[in-house]
Amino acid sequence: MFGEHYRALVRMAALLVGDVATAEAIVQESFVAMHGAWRRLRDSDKALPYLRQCLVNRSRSVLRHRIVIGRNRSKPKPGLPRAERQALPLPEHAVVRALRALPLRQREALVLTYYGGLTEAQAASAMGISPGAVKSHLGRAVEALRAVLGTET
Amino acid sequence: MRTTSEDRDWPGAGSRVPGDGDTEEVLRRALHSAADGIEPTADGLTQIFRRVATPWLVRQVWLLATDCVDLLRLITIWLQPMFARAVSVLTAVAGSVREVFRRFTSQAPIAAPISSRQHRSGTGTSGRCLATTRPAGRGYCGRRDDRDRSAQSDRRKDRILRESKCWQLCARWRGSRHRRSPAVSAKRPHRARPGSDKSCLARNHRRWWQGCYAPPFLRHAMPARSARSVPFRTCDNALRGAHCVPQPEPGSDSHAYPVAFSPASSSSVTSPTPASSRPRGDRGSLTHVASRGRGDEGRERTLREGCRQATERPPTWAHSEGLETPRLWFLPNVISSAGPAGPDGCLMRWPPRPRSVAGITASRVLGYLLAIPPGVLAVGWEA
Repeated sequence: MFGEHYRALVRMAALLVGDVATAEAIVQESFVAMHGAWRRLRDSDKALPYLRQCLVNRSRSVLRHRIVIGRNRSKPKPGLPRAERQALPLPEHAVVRALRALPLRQREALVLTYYGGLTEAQAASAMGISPGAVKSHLGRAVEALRAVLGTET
Repeated sequence: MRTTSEDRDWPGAGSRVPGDGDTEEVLRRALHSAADGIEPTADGLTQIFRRVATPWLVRQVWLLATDCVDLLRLITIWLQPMFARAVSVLTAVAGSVREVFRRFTSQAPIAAPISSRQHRSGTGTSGRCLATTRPAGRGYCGRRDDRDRSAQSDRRKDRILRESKCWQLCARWRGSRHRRSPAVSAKRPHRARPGSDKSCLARNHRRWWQGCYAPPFLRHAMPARSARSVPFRTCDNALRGAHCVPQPEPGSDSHAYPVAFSPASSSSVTSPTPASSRPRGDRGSLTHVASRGRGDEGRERTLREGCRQATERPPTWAHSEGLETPRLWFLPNVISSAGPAGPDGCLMRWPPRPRSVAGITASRVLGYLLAIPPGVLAVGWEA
């Protein structure tokens, strides 16, 4: 399972949190959590959804923590480069920038659906919301990305 | 014509209109192109094994510690404006308190009645027991100092403050060397005011209080502020509580106030050398009277030779007010607790008699009965 899904999960987490190191930590913690909860998994087929759910929850925690940190962080001087921009290893792609500007739920729905290839039900299971809410978030995310990409192009 | 998705009533359903499959495909390709270049490190499995091998408790404690550090940092950030405001408020309060304390403690202490305990504390041969004045208490000198400062010039005020600061530093241990133990003297020597070019006067003139002159009527009969028109000045040592002498005219000798204590001539006027300018060990030209222990010889000599009134009255407040106060200028070191013991009892009794009508009347009646001329018994206090 590790050789099959680890890389894809890391990439998915990187799209969510915008940082490869943090994404790796999140995925590793998800594997550890799955290892601890292996006895509670009645069906081995539910291991991957469990991993995705752990990944989404931990990414959400990280992003919320970053939001709080950024809210209370003192404003940097205008001439100085932003540290978080330097620490972000992802390529400066227009989609990545637009994805970073999306709300948390819309970002999760977009990544799980379009990058992970999950159905709305699977994405809803991973996000812990209903499929209708996933569709709603997905539609709003596509609309926002369309506007952003249309403006940039 | 409405589409199927538009008929749905959940929020955002209308955004997914048919025909935007190209947008989804574009987004899918964009996301893959952005994320497919990410390659995780090769030690992922090792990290997972290491995390799994770590005890659960240690891992939880570590996570808790990390969260606590973040929480403390957040709390610090949140409370930073409050800390800054508290620091500013405390700084302001400290400044005001310091100002009040400085004003309160920078007042020049003046003479206060000597206590019998202090009077008896000296030895009989060194003459220290003749110190009849002591620094006043803080409250006492505060009232007196307020009265003085209201009429003094700014230069005088500065001088008082400067020298009284010196006094305060010395008076912290009550300024007299003989009252301190040698250990305390070695640890805490007399100090001058920081930054002052003057050394500590109490150290250089450790018996300054013996050479001071304390007209008792000035000490105990201070009028109200409104009744005093002529400003007082204090001599050098009076800044530490010795006495108060009138303000001389500009250009005149500041210490040339009349003091009559000569048996040869009743009109002789002596100008005592100020204690601050005398060399150490010299207590002035008049101190020989009381150079013996406990003032016995000085008192005997005073009784034998008599006291003389001053031939010239200084322009004091009493003089300006036209008050009849025949006064006698004492050397304070001839003042004894024994009080007047002879017919020429010009020695001041301590504690002093109350300056009241009843006391005056009683003293006069007693004087007539004992055939003592009035004005001798109560000399120095009231005619």
